[in-house]
Amino acid sequence: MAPTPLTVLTPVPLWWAVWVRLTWMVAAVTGGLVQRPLRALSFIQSAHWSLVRRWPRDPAVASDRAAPRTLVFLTTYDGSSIQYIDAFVRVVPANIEALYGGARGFPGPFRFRPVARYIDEHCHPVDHAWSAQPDATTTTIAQALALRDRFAAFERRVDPRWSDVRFAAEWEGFLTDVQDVV
Amino acid sequence: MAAATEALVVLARVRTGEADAARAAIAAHWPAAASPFALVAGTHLARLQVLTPPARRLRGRRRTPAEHVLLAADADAPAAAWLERLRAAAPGPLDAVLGHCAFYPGTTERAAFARWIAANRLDVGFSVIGSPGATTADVRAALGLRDEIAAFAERTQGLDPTALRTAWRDWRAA
Repeated sequence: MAPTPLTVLTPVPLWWAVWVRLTWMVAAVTGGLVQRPLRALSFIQSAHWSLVRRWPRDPAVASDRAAPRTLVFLTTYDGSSIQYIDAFVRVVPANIEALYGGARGFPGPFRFRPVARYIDEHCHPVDHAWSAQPDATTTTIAQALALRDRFAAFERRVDPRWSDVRFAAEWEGFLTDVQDVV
Repeated sequence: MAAATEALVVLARVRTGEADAARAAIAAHWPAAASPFALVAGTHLARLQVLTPPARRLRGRRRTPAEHVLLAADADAPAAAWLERLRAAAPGPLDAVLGHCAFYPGTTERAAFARWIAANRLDVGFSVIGSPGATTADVRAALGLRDEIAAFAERTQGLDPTALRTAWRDWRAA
């Protein structure tokens, strides 16, 4: 099943935009600490947050006063939106509160239904999406990359002087060792 | 670990009254089964859409903001090189859609195209990427190797040690 793209636009007041930028600065200096629990969810292929201060950004085009400051969330994930939102609500509510706590109309990150409704009201249909690996999940890709590294280590270790019996035992050991990523 | 992937997010205003034409151009020139993004080496994920920003309440009245085209991609870094490959690989499909945006200069002139993209590009404040250290080539090779290892393990199951060693040498020499 191809990954699902989601685009969510959320209006935010100025004070919240300042706060969000501050959290991003903190996240940038923590060396991936903030991203870790989100990456551990292991179904996010990618997620990006941006702030639009002015619509459009191009200064050559007149500013559209009808459009407010907006937090833009672009994500591509494996599985259903129900699983996605549920995991956010259960596993990383503090991260969601830090990003959306001051967004206009945000119901808080702790209950599934209001969050699902909020996303539904603020998401925009993606007209065209493409993925280089439509059949591979985030987990599959991470496992394949881990297997590649372990296989390279095994191949470096293989000694031409080993007996066939020793090689067979080592191969068996390797297969046992990589069972979790094959 | 340096990120092998860079995000590109472009939001450009659609000229008044041309949003439906931009949507139609996406449907006509960017079919799901033959995406122009597939022609661009280094594309992990990409999307193209027409969207309407949220509306601000002005003096108690809600006005509808102008529609925008969103072009976004996760691509092998640097994004500037990916963008140039996109321009070279899909000039027609790009012009068909972005041609409805304000001040779009077209793909013919490389520098003008790059300047327009830069003027409309959004900074990404915070990102989570599944495998940030892997290029598209890394991912493709790793998935291929995984299949090879699984196939080798399956076909050598039950072989005696000498036959297994021979099969291994043949496989790795191939």
